[in-house]
Amino acid sequence: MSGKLTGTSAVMLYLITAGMMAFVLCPIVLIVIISFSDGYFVSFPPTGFTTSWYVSVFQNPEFTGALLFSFVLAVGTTLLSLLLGVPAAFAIVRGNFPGRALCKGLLLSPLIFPVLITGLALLQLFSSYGWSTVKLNLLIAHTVVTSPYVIRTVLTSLELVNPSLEEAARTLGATRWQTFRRVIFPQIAPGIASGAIFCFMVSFDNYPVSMWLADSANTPVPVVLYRQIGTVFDPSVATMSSIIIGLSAVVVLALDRMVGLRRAMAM
Amino acid sequence: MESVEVRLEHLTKEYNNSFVAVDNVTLTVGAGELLALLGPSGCGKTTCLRMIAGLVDPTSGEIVIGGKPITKTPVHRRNMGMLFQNYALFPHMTVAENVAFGLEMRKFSRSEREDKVRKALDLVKLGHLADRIPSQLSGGQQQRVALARALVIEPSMLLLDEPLGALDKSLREQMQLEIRHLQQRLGLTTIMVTHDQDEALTMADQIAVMRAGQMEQIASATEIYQRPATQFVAGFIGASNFFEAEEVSRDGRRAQLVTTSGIPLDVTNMRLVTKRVMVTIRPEAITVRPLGAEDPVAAPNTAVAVVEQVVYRGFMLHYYLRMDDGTEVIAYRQTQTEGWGPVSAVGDRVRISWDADSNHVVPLVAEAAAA
Ligand SMILES: Nc1ncnc2c1ncn2[C@@H]1O[C@H](COP(=O)(O)OP(=O)(O)O)[C@@H](O)[C@H]1O
Ligand SMILES: [Mg+2]
Repeated sequence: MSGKLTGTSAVMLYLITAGMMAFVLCPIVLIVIISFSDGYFVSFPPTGFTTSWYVSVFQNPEFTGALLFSFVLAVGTTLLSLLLGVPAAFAIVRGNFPGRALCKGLLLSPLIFPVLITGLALLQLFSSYGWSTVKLNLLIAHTVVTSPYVIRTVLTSLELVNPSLEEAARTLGATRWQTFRRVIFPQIAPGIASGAIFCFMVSFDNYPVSMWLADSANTPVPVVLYRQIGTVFDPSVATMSSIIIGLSAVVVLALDRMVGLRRAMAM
Repeated sequence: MESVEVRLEHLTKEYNNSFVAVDNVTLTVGAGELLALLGPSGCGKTTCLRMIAGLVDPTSGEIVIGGKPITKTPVHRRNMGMLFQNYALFPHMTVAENVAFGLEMRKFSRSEREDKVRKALDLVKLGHLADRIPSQLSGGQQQRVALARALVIEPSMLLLDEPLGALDKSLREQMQLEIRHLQQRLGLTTIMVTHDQDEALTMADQIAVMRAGQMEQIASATEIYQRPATQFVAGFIGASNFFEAEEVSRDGRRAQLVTTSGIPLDVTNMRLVTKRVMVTIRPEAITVRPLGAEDPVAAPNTAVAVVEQVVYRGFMLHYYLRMDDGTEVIAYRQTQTEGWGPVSAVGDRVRISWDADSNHVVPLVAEAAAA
């Protein structure tokens, strides 16, 4: 059977795909266009072209501070999620303990529970224990939300690794750690990287959890953005959004490039 | 390389504290010998091998290599060469990197590694493929790389878990001879797991037949084939006909028996003391002749049967026969043999007969024949 579509059905498929792409990309493109708009209010079509919003946004210490804060928070969250998620995925796939399936379900559960509720629950937990270090609370909360992404992607790629590879390495004289580093890691690196991308993105634009936990000294950028919209609705919001979009794209591309290289070396 | 003797002493493995996969196995593999662990699927062969490798912890018992107990030694210090059914080559490394892996773990210098890898790849005739990636090789080539990777570390013994199971028949036979040849040349003590009796007969010095976690018999290929210790072994290695029989008279090792269906049997090697025994007869020991007018009736070791099916197997004809009382009999006949008279066809009544020496006696067990 040929896998290629032809004729009317092919045209239909192309149209549907194009429609979907437009649907997904339009808001982003719109925001980027508005960010260059020369006017005091958000309007479409834009009234002129200017880069002055970028200049003013970058001169706004509240925004740049939040951007840096979010970036550091997302990096920290990603690292912590990897640190917890990779061994957890390992234990679930290779381990042999009762309730493994249940464990798998529980560890992946924040993917089905509403994040808003998770945030509220964590706020209550932190305050009942009197944990008032906001930075740490945010890090923990974001990790709770993001680590399942790492577990899921690493789990999937680990399940594809033939267990005899580990056994072969062991009989050839490799310790557990050497086996992981030389044999397992190269196979699951794409899974780890995509998990890391998810973590970074989910943490970087997380609003529902940060909203509960942030204070005025520790404000992630989505919270700043939301506040900004509540006070003035000028194109600077679009500019900030565009900057976030750009930064996210750079991170994704960078990670993909790294993994892509690894893949190419593994082929 | 020095050959070592390998001993398993009362080796037992219980999974989940309930299921006994390997039950009190004791055996010795002589230095430089190849022992085949043979048995049906699920009888515990792989578990046995993995305990020797150190990949599974025995519940009790001892593994002794070259006189040293290694039961407590972790896998990566046991220095065993192991081959897996699915080759288990590292997909992200070239052939040469795969072979070098064990050497790297042993901290050999780069130049020593390159030298040893080249020699090992030449040994398996793959020197020209050193820079390939495993996925670019055929199954046979991949298993040869795995063999080179296992041999290059100069292991104290070689463990093979159905290493040729995924190859097609002719390649498998070629590889069997190749591995056997290398193993003998290097004097490498080897245990091979297989469920293929031909493979065991082709390659092994000793065959250990396992059944449900226990050893049934450990002996040379000829011994196992000609003098199986149990009905299970007789049925598992090659085909056998089984007749339950009772002793009528005995004179030393010679005995007169009669089967439950009334066929008198002459036995030259009555090695058991029990009166009721199972007699096994190999299909190739049975001669099939058309039932003539001057039929020698009532002589021992003969019977009358009807041909139910004739299967042409190249150099052998397989006759599926049924005796008048319903007992099924299999007989093989070489197609090229002269002077055996015409080939009998389906429906023919025939006289089957065999030598007294072909009657082999095994203990009678309550269960039905496994064959
Ligand atoms: N990790 C395990 N946990 C529980 N049972 C196992 C495990 N490995 C093997 N078994 C059981 O032990 C028995 C022997 O298995 P195995 O040694 O693989 O047999 P073979 O190699 O002869 O086919 C089988 O019944 C199998 O189901
Ligand atoms: Mg097996």
